[in-house]
Amino acid sequence: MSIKTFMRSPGRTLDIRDHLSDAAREVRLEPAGCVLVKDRGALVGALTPADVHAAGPSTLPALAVYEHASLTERLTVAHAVTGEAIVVPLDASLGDAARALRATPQRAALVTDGAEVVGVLTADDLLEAVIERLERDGPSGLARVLVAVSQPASPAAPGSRSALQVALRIARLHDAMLTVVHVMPRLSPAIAEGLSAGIDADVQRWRLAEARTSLGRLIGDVDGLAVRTDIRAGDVVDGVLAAAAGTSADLIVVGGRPGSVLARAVIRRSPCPVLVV
Amino acid sequence: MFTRALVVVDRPAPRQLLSWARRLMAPAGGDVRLLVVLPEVRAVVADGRTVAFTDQQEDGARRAAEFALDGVVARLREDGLGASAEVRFGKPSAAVLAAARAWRAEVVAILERPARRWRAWLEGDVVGDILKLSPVPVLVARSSGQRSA
Repeated sequence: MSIKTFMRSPGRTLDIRDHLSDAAREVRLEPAGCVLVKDRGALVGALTPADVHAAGPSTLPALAVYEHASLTERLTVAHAVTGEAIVVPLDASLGDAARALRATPQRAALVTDGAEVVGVLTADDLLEAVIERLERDGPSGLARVLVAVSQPASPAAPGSRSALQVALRIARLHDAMLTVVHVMPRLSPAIAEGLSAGIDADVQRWRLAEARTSLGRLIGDVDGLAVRTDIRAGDVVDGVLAAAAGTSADLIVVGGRPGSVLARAVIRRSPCPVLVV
Repeated sequence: MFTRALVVVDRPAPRQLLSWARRLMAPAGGDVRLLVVLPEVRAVVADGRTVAFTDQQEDGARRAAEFALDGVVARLREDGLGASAEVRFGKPSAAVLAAARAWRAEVVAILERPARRWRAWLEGDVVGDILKLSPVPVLVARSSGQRSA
């Protein structure tokens, strides 16, 4: 993990006397997310969105009424970039850069290679490095995969079948727990939970048993893989999302392309990434 | 499972996308291609004279995008994955699908951001178009309200 792999390219340059409102717009438009700041031709630091936010007028309407426009318009880049520029050499460690930034109110350091500024390292970039380190130290791969299967009794559901096959392969490769969820919109919730449900209970119980058998046939021989089936009643999207939340799924696999309404609805509310097969 | 993942990048530091690529490909390894799609550029004309030609503009934009991705590529390589970056110009969904076919991607990974109405109208439903037309599975995560893979 080196500074080079986490730093940003130096964006455009602003003058320290530029209006802060103009600078805020420049920072927003800059793909690197920060700009360099010069004072009489010499680099004095870098301006990040956090600097602009800290020095700029209040974003709270309740406070903004006390800030007269003629005063806030006088704010310049100098109000946001204060103190000496932090300069770290390209071959310094990320720890050295973090210590240098921590000792000052600046939120970005200039990275130099000899006399040339080759990049900018912000507090956000350092946080990114910490996150990456934590992720590398944590468990790799996926631990819990959930696949949504529709119409298990019907042979004409190739989308579900291939989603299930993809999910089985992913679970096998990652040695992950696989949950196969099937939601029956017209099944009584009480029956799905194993309770009595009035006059048509027998019919519903028969439908549930049929679904279980079909699902088992569809999954087939899993050869040591940890697979559990989950049959739910009610709205399909709600059922899939509830199953994902209940199993803390790392990944949801759904079939039904192209342009599946179910897939889009699951993506919009899913607690984890969704693989659309 | 997937050994060639095309990761669509729309920000300089695609943290969520990197997490996915790492976790999805962790057991078997493989190749990750980071794809940046930039809007088509036009020649800059001032007072009837061409100040910057399209290819000059594209070269500049391409270099800036590649510089931004250099670090990400290096970090993926540190994880033992094959990593490369590609920059295309044009309509995002068409460029992503063309890149997926040309590179023979086995999965396309993309981040869905909540778009304001005018932006959605301007750019179209990029994720929706890719889901409809992709020849390979598509991994989609939202930019917020979701834990990384």
